[in-house]
Amino acid sequence: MDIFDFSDGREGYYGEYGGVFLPEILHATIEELLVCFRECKADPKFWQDYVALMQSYSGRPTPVTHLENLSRKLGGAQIYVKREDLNHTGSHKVNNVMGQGLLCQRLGKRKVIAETGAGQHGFATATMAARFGFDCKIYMGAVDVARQRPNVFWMENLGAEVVAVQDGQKTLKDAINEAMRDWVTNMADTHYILGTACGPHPFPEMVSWFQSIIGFEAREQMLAQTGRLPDRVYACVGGGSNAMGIFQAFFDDDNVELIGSEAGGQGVGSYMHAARLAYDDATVGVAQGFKTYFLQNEEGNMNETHSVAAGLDYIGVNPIFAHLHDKGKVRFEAATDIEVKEALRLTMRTEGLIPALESTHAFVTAIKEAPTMGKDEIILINQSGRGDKDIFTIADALDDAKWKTFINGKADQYRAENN
Amino acid sequence: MALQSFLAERKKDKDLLVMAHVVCGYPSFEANMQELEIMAEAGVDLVELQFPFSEPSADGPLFVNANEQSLKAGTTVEDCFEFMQQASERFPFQLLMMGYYNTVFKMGEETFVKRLKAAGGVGYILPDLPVEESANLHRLSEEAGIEPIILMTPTSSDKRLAQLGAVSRGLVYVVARKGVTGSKTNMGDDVSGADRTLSSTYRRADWCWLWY
Repeated sequence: MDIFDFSDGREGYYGEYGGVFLPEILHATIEELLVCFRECKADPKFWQDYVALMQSYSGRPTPVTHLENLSRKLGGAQIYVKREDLNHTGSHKVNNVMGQGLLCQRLGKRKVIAETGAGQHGFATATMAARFGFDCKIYMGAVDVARQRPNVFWMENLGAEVVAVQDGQKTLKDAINEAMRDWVTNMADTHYILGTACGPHPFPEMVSWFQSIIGFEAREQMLAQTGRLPDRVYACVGGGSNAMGIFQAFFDDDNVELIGSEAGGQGVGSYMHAARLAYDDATVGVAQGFKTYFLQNEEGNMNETHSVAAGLDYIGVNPIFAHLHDKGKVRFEAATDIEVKEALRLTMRTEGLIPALESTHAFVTAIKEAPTMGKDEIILINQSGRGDKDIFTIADALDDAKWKTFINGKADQYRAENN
Repeated sequence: MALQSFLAERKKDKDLLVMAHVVCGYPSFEANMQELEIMAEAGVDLVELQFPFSEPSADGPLFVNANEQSLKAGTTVEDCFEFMQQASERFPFQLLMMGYYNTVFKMGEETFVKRLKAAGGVGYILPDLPVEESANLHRLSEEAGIEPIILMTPTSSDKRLAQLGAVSRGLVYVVARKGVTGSKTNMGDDVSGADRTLSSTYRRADWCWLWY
């Protein structure tokens, strides 16, 4: 199936979801972007250049690793992991960002703006901007700036300006609003590098296209390494870009089950989560440029969301998944904060892998289901990012006493230097 | 009275009509009512009542803050319609609903049009609802005698202006500059760009509003 074939339906719609809901002033900009994207997608050289860039700059193809210890310990399916954590900047975000960087060159624009939640997308965008010589401004909620200093540190040192957004909940959705406000003013020379497969058309399709490199590689690698396709593929879902990236390659393989793992936060009924499809709390709405399931009240104002993983802490889900959920093509589960911490410990100890808190959500669901599967069955997990760069967040999540002592000592040292 | 005939009536006595804006429930509905009293005394002709929304992405900092404070104070859509009803019964100016499409989408387009009509509103401005998505709402509005206010912008091509002009009724909202509401208001180069929009619009619409 080609979900991006709109010839039978409305351009930019996946079932009833998607579309373009933007102020009129951006109409021409979105049209220009769509035309440029269509040209890129139709040009085989563009994709070749993109792949070559990702090979030389980001270490692609990323490998697939067989987790023999974890598989043995769980006693069920054989678990394999696609290692997007080994990308430059430490996550799959760089795939989309480098692709949009090439596209931005074609557009002839010299300034890029981006929103970021956890800071991974901002970090990747700042990296790309440094490499391509673009001016770069990153919008980040003030709450996220406060809790993600390491990523802010790198963004600023890479030459980007980081703007702490003080509106609303001061998190990802507010950063998106602020990036939109910049764009409606500066669209003439600025490209908006949206970080996930959400927002107005063509962003869901465009981000999915750049991320599809994950799945194309993984499918071939699984065939080469195991001689067949996996039975189930797991990925975490915030906006949904890494999951779209790996799932797309298996859309035509009816025997491969696709499972998205959302942020269960404090669990069902807590209203402190970001599970749009796995739980029943979200309803269809229109915000941030597109129609999808949002965590909102009955009047359409957005609810607060929560996750231990800032990168999954978002009110909406990409419109493609809303549609594939309706069709039963992708199954959605949720992993709670507590389960994530347990799975992270287990994965570190048994395999020496440190998945990002976001990616660990996919591990939680896979670890739950692997023991119920046969030993000859195969699981593939997308490890979308690495956790070691999130040491502050993970140390907090694991409540590590020695780390706190270290930080206190460091603080004392800085205080002494200032006196 | 329908918007267009109301404007024609008002235009008989003055050269320039004035439209003002209030964010419902900010800082309070009592304060809003006092603001409207002042506007009525000053002879304002139209007032936009903004229904607060949690993601006002076309608004600038002042409006974003007003939306946020109003929602924090517990303002509901019902409160806004009630306020509109009181205001429409009391003042000589006409009222437009201004807000974001999700407010309309969640209550249903048919319900929205009915409630707006019942509250005495004559039209609505939904900056994040493009004409491509408006067919049903425009049809329902026409049946009810409510006007959808279309925005034309400095970036709209001639082809686009023609498209927008074709579905415009009541009045056309000409966005005079790029950017969000309520910030950087000066009569710079961007504003002069509105001349082009205006000249190509004026043939199609009887009334244009400039958004500075």
